[in-house]
Amino acid sequence: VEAVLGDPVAAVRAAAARAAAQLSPGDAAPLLRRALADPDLWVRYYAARAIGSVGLPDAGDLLAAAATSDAAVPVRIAAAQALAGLEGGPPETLVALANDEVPDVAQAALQGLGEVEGDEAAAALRAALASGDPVRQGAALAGLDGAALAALEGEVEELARTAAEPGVRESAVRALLAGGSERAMSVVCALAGDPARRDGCLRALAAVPGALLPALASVLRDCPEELRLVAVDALSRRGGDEAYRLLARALDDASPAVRGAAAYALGRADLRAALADEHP
Amino acid sequence: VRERNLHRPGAGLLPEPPGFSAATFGLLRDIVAQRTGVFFDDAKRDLFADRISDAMAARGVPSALDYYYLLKYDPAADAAWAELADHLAVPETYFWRQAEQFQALTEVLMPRYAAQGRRGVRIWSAACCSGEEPLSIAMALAEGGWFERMTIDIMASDASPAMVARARGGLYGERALRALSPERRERFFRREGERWRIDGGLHARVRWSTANLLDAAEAGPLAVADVIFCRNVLIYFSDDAIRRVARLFAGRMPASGHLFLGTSESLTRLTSDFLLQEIGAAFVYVPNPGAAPA
Repeated sequence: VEAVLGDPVAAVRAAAARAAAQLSPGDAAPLLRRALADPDLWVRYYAARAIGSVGLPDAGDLLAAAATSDAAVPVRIAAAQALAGLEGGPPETLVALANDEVPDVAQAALQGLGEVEGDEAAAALRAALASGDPVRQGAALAGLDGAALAALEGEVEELARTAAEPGVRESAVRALLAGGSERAMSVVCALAGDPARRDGCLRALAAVPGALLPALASVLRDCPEELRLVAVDALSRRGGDEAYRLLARALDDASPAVRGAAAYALGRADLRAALADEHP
Repeated sequence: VRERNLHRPGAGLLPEPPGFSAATFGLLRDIVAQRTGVFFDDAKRDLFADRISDAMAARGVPSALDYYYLLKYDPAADAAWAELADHLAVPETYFWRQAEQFQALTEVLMPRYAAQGRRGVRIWSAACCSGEEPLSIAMALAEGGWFERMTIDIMASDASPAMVARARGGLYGERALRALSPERRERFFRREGERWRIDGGLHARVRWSTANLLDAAEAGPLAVADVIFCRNVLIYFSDDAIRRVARLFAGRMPASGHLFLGTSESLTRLTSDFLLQEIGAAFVYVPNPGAAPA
């Protein structure tokens, strides 16, 4: 890798920077520092990414410097993204970059802040969500994860309900569902009651990962009839054995409408797996 | 290092997942539509991914997001865009396609220009692909004897440098000649192995170039033509891109100009810059004198 990093062809050096990501931190460190100073922007771009994935001891400082002062926008973006992925990395640089004059850099920082815990990151994201700027709102929503999402669930729910831009509303719905709380699931089911939003919400509900199906099951168990009908529709669109098992349980629902919707959904599916457990 | 950093595009530790994320698809789709006019809706996501993947592989770029940044920020991005145009090109065309439009040109419009005392006429094939359209125009004009009566400037362009290179080559397979009569084959081609070579004199009547229809600096000087053929390309464009192209044409072509589109294409739903007329057996758009100025 060291030899190839000296190749006269920039694309070859960029490949070497990518390859350096597979070395141990000790071996990679001098190579990636050198690559981060390469005259070609794509060598520096991949070096920034590799520094984030290898975990050099001074990765935070290297990436912060690249994210704030590299001459090339893609390098700044890659550094900001890698900075967000560093465990325990201080958020100051990303918070500052969230207001960078280059929109793509600001978006990368906002997206990265969603992975960072702490009040400072949450405050920057809260400001972006309240900015009224659909691009900043979308970037903040796209990266929300874990603790940051939990801290901002109220703001995200508000955007899912009221944002003027349909794309922002849909991003907010996806972010809510990614949190996986039962409350978020019932909120999205309720939003699906609006005919104009039904299809988008159902698409998002049907696409939730399998780990979130218990939250959808809780809607089927605990929520009012109109929300249970939405959950049945989402499970029907989703398909698969686990969804069919939940639909089979809905055949015992107190509401004839829910029972009918579940029966119709199962009637269009292959029932064998579902009925084997629930209605042998 | 968080787990997420190991999965980032281009991180080098793990192979890229096939296809695009929804977010990356949106970024690339929008930047391609903005630059080229070609729009891929959600139903064509897989087709778009195939085309982009080929272009990425040719460049050795490991992730779609990296490729997006390359198109947007690389100092030599123009070359990458030209390569991408080659991958987005749809090379399906053939000689003498929609022949009623060539007849309208030679039997109605050219006599009209002659009656007006015009000494020269400019004709532009705006999405010439591998050259079948402008060469068909040249054949029709040759058959009508128009090259002996007027100075005719036939310009042909395409966004894809590879397509223009094929057009400049002048060599065609049997499939491209499927709508040509034996007489036209005999007159305008000679066999060269398994393929057909266009007559050199006819080929030399066309001036070839590369031009992006959404780039006024490239397409604007060509759009001053009296007659524009822009067929079977707007079907791949977004509505906004079609409006931009129509506005460019309307703003540059003479008030007496004529615009031929493909049979499945229409401007009437999208713009008031042109009016539709029936000329001979063909429909043709003419600039609308009542349209708002460009």
